[in-house]
Amino acid sequence: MDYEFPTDFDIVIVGTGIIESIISAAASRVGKRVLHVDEKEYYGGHWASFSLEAILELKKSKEYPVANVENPDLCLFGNQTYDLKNVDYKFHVIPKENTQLEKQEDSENQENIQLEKQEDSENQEQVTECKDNDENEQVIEKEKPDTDVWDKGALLKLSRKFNIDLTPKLQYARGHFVELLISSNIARYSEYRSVSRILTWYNKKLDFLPCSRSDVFANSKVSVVEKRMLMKVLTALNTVDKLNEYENKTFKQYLTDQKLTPNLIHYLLYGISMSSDDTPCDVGVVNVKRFLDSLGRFGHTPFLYSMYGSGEIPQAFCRLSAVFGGVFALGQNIQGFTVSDNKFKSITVRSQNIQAEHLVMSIEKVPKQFLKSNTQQYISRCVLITDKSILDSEKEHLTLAFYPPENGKPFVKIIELGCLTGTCLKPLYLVHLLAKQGTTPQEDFSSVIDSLFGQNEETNMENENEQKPSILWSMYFSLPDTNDGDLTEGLPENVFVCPGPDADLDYDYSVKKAEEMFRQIYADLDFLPRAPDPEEIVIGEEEGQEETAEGDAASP
Amino acid sequence: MAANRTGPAQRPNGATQGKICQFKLVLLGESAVGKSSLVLRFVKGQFHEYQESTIGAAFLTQTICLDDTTVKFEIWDTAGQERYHSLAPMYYRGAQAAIVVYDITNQDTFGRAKTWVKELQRQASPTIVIALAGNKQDLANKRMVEYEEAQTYADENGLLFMETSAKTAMNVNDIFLAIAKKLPKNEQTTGQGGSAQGRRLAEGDSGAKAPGNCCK
Repeated sequence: MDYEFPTDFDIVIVGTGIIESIISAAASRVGKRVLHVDEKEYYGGHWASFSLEAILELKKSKEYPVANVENPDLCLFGNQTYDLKNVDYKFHVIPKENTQLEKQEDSENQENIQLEKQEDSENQEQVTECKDNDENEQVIEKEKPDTDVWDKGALLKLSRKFNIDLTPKLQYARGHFVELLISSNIARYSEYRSVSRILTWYNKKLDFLPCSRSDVFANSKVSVVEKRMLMKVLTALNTVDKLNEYENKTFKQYLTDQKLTPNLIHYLLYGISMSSDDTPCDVGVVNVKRFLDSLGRFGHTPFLYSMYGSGEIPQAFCRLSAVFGGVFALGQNIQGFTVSDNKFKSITVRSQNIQAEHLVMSIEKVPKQFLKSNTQQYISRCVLITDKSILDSEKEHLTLAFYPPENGKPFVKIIELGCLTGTCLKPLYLVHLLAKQGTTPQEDFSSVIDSLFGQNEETNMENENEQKPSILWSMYFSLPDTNDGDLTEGLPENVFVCPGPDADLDYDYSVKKAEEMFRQIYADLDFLPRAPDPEEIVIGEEEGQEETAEGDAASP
Repeated sequence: MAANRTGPAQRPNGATQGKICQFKLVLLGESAVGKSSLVLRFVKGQFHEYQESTIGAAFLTQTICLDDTTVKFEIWDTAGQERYHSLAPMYYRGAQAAIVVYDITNQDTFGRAKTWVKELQRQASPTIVIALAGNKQDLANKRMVEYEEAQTYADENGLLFMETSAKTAMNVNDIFLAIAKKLPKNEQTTGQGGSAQGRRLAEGDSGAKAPGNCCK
């Protein structure tokens, strides 16, 4: 279908990551005319969630802009620096025995043979997948009748039941981000689930992290003396402003000096404050406070997860932007932009030139010539589909788990999602692993995988009593970490660049960044004032009334 | 609004007598077929001949009384995001009902409506109630889509079907009422003790921390 965009815009936004989307909503909300485009067919960029089938596509190579012959002065969007790296996935063949789906009682031997055969074909398939031409094979797999194993075909049939985050995020119930969602009235566009338990890997097994007072007292592994100690130190940390004497020391040092037991140091350091051995004391204290402050608002733990995946969050901000008149277009051929007198002039979308006062873009879209050549850091990521929870329970849990650093491996955070989150289907679980990248995702997570999961078919077959979940599908990748510092140089003065994902569990860094940029662009305007509720909407009888009253008379 | 949704007395699809059931209803259809106008007619009883596109009806609520049940519709308009094929998947999430609108004077919009129905069947909840609305019935003299053609299509796909006019109000309340009647009014659970619906965040929950519930 052919169409032309309107041409009168105040601000053009390229990319639909969380920061771009927040700025879009904020600008549109105060009456700015926003054009928001993305070359991708989906919202969210590196913050998107995908169906199983769609996430496999990420492995395929991307096309990069080539010099425009007609207009050699055009600054071409896109760079390879901020792409996903090391994308690798594998389907494992697992019998459906522990699941509640129907299963025929085959004899052990037959099943064994069948599995081996399937595994062979699986290996061959991996080779072809690397060549990116497995289209036909996928079709054939999908047409296979139901089997009693979870294999590629069985999972791909259910592809849409999965919403797989590239950047899984949790939200502190009283954190800055949740307050913004509520105060701006954007919260009504999405639904949330509370994280229902927090686990930590301690003494070679998963242990419950005592979160609340009742947890502390119910915990049988914590002695009475320890309980008093823990309550005392939590109270102290929650009321203290600054520990001057620990200014240059680590949080671990502080905890050790409090003469706490190894148990408690573990809970406080790796659990409640999500710190590592070298985390500065003041950071550790802030983290503990933030954790404690968010308890008891929406659930048993301080954390919330957005239903249907973290990819819903940018969409919610984009929706608010659209409701206030923002124009959205996905899957666009966005070529580049022109600059004169060190100012952005116009952007070329499809074959149309569109002028605006400001240009905002995501870091992946920055033309190569504006990128600083600093060492790139990465977030190691792994996603698993498993056949049961890492800690089986009668009730379905939404679990956050910590795997403290050991043997030079990084601190790993684990988010396990069940069907109630709308990101996978019963009885399977979707498990996200994330860490600041040490070496490669595979190596960074190898201890976690060994400890918590039955890694492959063979170990499970040999060890019938093994209670660990089996991995049905695994995917590894490296996500560029843009958490720190200025990443660009020499940009035109009315061009702004949004960082991508950071290694934190929450969105607070992104909101802070978005608000900062909004204030740079529109210094004297409100940042995301509350949108009216449906009951408050007045629709003008006379034409043009909406315009005179700006956003407030428009719909929420 | 959102606070009501989590209140125990007004649980969505609650099972008590005189209950209030709340449903998310999404509107779909090509630009300018009258989606917003239908909602404005239904919710506010208004019609504007030169309705600015998208403004006004992006998130409205309206209740219908049905025997002993109050059905509250939370109505989502596309906010123009359909125009350049950028309607977010979030839009369909958790929707229990949809009205797919076309313009009876424009055959293309009917074709596009069929695409939306397919999209819903693919993306939305399998239990979603879908209604097809042939709008602008007041312009029947310029009709390009035959009533029978649309009725047959609706029958084949299990859709409710009515021709409507936001301008004259014809069948507007009726189509919402028909949807309300067809929606299940019993509590949905997933069989694991949890509600299928998630939590809405609202100011009401931001009150003082419950003492004893935290480590203080």
